Amino acid sequence: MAETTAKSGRNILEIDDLKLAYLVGGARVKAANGVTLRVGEGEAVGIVGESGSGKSTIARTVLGLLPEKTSEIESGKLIIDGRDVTRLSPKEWESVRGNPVAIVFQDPLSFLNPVMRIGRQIAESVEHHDQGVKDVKARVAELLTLVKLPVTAARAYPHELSGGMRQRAMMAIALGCRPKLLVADEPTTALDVTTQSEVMELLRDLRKKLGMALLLISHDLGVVASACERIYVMYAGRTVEWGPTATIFSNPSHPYTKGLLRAAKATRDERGRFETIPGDVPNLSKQPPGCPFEMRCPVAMPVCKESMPAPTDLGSRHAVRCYAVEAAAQRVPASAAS
Amino acid sequence: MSNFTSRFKSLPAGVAAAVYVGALVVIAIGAQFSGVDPTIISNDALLPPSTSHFLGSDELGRDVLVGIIFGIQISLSVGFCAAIAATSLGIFIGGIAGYYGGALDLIVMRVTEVFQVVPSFILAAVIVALSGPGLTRIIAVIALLAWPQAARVMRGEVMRVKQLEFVEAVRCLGYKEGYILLREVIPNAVSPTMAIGTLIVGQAILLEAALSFFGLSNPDLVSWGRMLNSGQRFLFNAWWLSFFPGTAILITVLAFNLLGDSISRALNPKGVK
Amino acid sequence: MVETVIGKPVLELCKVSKSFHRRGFPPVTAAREVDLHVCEAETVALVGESGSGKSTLAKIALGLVRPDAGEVKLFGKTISGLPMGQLREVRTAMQPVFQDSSAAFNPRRTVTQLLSQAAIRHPSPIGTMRERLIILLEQVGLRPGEDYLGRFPHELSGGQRQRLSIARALAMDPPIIIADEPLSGADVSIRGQLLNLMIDLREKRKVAYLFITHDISIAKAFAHRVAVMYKGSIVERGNADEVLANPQHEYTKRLVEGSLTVEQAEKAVEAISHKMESGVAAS
Repeated sequence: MAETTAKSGRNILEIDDLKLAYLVGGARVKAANGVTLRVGEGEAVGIVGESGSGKSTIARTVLGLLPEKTSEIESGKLIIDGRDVTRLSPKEWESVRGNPVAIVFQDPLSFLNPVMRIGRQIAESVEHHDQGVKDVKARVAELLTLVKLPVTAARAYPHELSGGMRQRAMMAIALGCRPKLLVADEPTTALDVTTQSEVMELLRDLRKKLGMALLLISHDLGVVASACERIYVMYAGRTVEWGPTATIFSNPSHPYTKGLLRAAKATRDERGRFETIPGDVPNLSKQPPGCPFEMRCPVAMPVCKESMPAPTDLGSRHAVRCYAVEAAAQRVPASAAS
Repeated sequence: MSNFTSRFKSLPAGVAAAVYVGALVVIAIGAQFSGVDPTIISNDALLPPSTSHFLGSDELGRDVLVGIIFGIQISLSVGFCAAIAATSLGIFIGGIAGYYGGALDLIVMRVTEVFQVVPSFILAAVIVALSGPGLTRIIAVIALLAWPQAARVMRGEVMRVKQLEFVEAVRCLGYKEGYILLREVIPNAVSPTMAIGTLIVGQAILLEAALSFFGLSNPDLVSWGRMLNSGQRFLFNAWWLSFFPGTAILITVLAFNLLGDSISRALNPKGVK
Repeated sequence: MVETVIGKPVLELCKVSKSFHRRGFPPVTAAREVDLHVCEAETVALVGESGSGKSTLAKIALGLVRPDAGEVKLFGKTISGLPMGQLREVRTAMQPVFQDSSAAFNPRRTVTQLLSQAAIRHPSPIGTMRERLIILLEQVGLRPGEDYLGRFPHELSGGQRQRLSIARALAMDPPIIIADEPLSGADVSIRGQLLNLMIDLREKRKVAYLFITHDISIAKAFAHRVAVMYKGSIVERGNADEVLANPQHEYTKRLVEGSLTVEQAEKAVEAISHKMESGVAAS
């Protein structure tokens, strides 16, 4: 795969051609069907995808949170901080969760214990994952300040906080583990617009201060772009395009990425109509052998029905899986040579 | 609905209970067509279990196994009829209280609370003792005692369903409240009450047996409680007269409890795990 | 961006107030003397965050919640305070489209049953019921209509269900549709399809919309006028372009600046590439 590592040269997370399925009433639902992804140490990487893209499955996989009986990793590799964790047992996952990898969810209420004070919950995470700390109380106060919550919030119960404050409390719990990689799964989707930008700003600050890596998962290109250096675009369980944020925005190559960017801008054409991608979001239980975007694609070719293309390297860490782009890329050097 | 079936199948206790109840119904119907008379008296009085009388015989030489088989009919019909009556009453009252709310709701809820704190067996015994035994009367008494459970569950579920958006969408089409309650809300709210209904079957069987045990039932009918009632006099020299009907009651009530529990768990997508 | 519309008001809210009282809690004011009107074939966006009272206002307009004070007028006639029977008849002129399409349909009914439930209330002399339902389905882009008749709502995708919501509303041939966050459950690539459908209906059938959203960029692109709601009051109103391009109220400013839109991301990207270019030039 045409992918090198980030600046420091070391990857905190490597996913290689991961395929996994959920078993739903005898059927196999392919939630990941060839996902390749790298997050370098201290790097901020975003995954963008719509419903059915498999992006949340990736979050769960990286934390070892897949349902044990109803899901199966079929092939591929998952390496966290240099350790192959593809086939870890639930017990072994405990040594990965929290440190080196922690997670922040969309809905903090389902994650926080409703009958325990916030301070106690942060303290637990510190005691559990950061044994070196002697003064837990001081560390809790430090963490609260870090996420820009008043220290008095330690005495509050989750329901007494607003949505944005809960999200911050959950971040404090995650940071209490001193993670090297923070996974944020739709962290702002349930929040209001004004709160959303505050939480994103906090995420950016924290990353700068603590030097940890970030894997931000969202359906919203704007949110991902606000915090990430690189972006992976997912569609129907596959990573279809990836590259630096600026490149994805200035030079999107996959027809899906192009369509998504146009749709997200909510601009209208001369007939007063909005840009859209025709067709419907993918249904993971019936997947075609070829490119899953073929049915909605404006530049589909016969070969697209048959198989999924390999990544085409477009230089400067930008790659795409699309036959149309591949064909164009081959033509260019050929004509240049003649 | 297919989801419900597959979730239900994943609960072994519920499946076993359903099979058991199904078998009871088949046996009860078969017994009616067998031509056997369970009340026939013979000379084999008070015989312990043996090959001629698998579960022994009573003081009048009647076979205990035959008695238990014919007793199914009484137990099940009391159980089912009482549960159907109680559940229907509960759906009706709980549905109206939950949907319209207000003072009506307040009154209904206070009434159900009164029923919940009154010991039901004593109340049933007093009513039957005053009005005289009889199968329909017993069914009516049990239904009267059990409806508040169904009504409370129904009320809660109706309150949940009535604030769903589809109800408001139909209201905006200009339909009347009565139509909305009957056609939109109740069909989507009855399932948990049905599960309670199954539990009520078990309770009703137990209550009927208890009333019969104290002699508060028609002496001409063969029922499990009646058998216990006559067996208690021989508890120390003919244990089988009490043991087998008692076991039949225990297993059947347990089966209905497991069935009701499994149904309510299968109805709740988050419940099975 | 969007042409202005001048016409007779379809729906008017005049000084509408509503607060909710729960025992043990301080009363919550969901609407405080709100004035709002929507004219024929006009789209008015009501913008605000969760808890600002915009959903309550939608329910008051639909006659589902009675206001504590103020009036709701439909074609100039006051409908708030009408007896139940009359209210039931007149409010069919307003049809809702809700946010959560999975809760918007009775899960036990098929598409045929769901749509005919609406179509029966608004008889039309043309064609059989089946033909009418197929026309409705195809009008909202569910083609071929026959394929959808026997399906249950859970067998449709979120986008298809939201189209079905619109089809149900259309069966009543309403002069106004009140849409409460109809896009927030839809994927980005589906959003445009739904908006285009609503624009089609606005142009062909002169449907007016009260469009409730938290998404500034959609309000700006889709609505003629916009009203910004904050803590139960309307703090700013006017032409959509003007208000959102040049917000006056403190809250509107925060709302506009705070939203992480793709346009903002693009501007940021451009800024970065400029910096890089100038950096290269300097060295």
